[in-house]
Amino acid sequence: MIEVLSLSKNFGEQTVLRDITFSVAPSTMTFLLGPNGAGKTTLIRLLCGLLEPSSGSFKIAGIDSSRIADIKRVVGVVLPGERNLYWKLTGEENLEFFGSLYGLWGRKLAVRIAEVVELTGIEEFYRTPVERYSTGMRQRLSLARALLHEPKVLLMDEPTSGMDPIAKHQMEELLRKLARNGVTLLISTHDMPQVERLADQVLIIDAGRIVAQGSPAELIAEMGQKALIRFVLDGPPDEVVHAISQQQLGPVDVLEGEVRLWSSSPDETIGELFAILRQTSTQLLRMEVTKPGLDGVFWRATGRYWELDRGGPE
Amino acid sequence: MDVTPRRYGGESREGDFEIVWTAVLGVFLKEWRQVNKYQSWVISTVEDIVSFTLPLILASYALRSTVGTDEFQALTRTASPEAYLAAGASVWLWLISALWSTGSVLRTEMRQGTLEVLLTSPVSILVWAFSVSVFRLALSAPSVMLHVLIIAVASGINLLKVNWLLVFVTAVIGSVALGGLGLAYGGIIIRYKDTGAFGNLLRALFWVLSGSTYSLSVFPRYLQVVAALLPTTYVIDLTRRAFLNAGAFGSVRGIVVLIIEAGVLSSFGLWVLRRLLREARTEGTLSTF
Repeated sequence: MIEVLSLSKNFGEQTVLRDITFSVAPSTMTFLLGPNGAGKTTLIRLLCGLLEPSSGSFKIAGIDSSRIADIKRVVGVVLPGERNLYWKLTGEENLEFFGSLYGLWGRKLAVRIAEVVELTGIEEFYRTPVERYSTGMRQRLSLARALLHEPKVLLMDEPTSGMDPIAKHQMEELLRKLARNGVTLLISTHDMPQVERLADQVLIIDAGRIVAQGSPAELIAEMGQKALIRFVLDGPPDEVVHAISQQQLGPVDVLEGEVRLWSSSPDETIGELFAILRQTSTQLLRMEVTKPGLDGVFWRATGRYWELDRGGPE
Repeated sequence: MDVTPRRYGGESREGDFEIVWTAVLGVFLKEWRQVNKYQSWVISTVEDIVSFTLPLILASYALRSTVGTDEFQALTRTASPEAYLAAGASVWLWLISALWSTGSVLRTEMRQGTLEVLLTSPVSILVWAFSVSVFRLALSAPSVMLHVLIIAVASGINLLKVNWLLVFVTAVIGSVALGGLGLAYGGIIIRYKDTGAFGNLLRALFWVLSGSTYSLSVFPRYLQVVAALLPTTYVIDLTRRAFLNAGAFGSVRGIVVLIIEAGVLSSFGLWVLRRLLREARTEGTLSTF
């Protein structure tokens, strides 16, 4: 449904996207993950025609990127932020206006509005002015607007940003429903648990490149199979770390007094580690073994391996 | 698949007729609803007359029979300085709203954050920007009618003798010419953002050079040449002729020039808007303001 080939985007001297190639199957959910400034938003903006590529091309629903107006007819877009609605108007009035931009009018428009209002669950408030809405309500109205013309593809830039857990859960249910109904979704987010719950495919972007690509299960199997063993000793860890390196138990580092060791066979490694502790007469104060999920994949793929469990880069 | 970068072919393909007409109706309805949230536009209709036109009429009354009145009448070739001043001022008020309406539409959408989402729709930017401009001009119609009425009463013009055909033709052709300039200004706003001072400077130059309250013969020769290039000069002159029943030959010549300017300026404005919109897309500055 979406085919992107060697897409690049420069802003002057700065290259924001480099040679991006991927495809998205119909009726699936693909998530874009990446640190701030990685190029996720730029990619969404390129695909919906708000930016022009520096090189490369793409097809959406078989339509070439040179026919961007035709692409706009089959794509729905949810942009970040809450300012992309007319706040003085009601949700219904917003939907009437945006529907008119897609050739909808009169009974056809009324029927379609009723459908998206029900689908997005905004019946209770869509007849009140948007200025009185919460963040979650505005996001749902934005989604309703994007669905008015029955798009085949939905491009969403951080659609659950700023939502409380209940609103986020409702939005996730809605996204599942859309995928089941045949809509192809490409969504940028920072919410990794959400990606694990929903994604058919994940694209991890860093510094404008795709650094990992696949289903969450595939990525975890390929890149995240190593467990993280974290432990704290009763004294300086230098001698133990040296021994771990010599015996090549796995990548090791020390962060704020905590030793971190990655291992693809944690049970074996822990046995060897205890042997080292005995040899060096070092006492163990605390140990924790974590089997990483998608977040581990993210940190490894973006080269921020040791920032795992620190809440990400500052 | 070929990886050669492809240009998007302008801001978007216009789409079929159905999308265009529903978009125009949608824009009208949306604008009307927004205007109706606050009824202050009724006050601003009257405010223009009080702050701009009435003082000019009163000034011309005050100067009647004083030294210089004869000279003014001779220069302007009119027996009614009140009508001359008030007509010019009123037309000017309409002109500035026509001239900047597209730009102000784009600026408003940019500020409230709705420009980008509008650009993700298949409707051409021209369709909705033009529709909003037309709506706003239509909204200024009551104000224009009030001006006309006040001018007529104040200066004794018989409205039945006004050349309404000339007024209509001038308004239509003038709208196209000024709309072209408006498109160019809209493009400048999208690309360069903080253009308020630039817009005010242009407006000031047009105001000074278009002869809205005096005859262009007071200018040195080179400024007269510049004034003769401006569409606003012809719109003001032709409307004034329609009200004051001036010579038909001058009107025909003015209309011909205005038609040529309408063709040139609308093409130029469209070109500038498309080019600067593409630049904003290339540089990623659509969403910034």
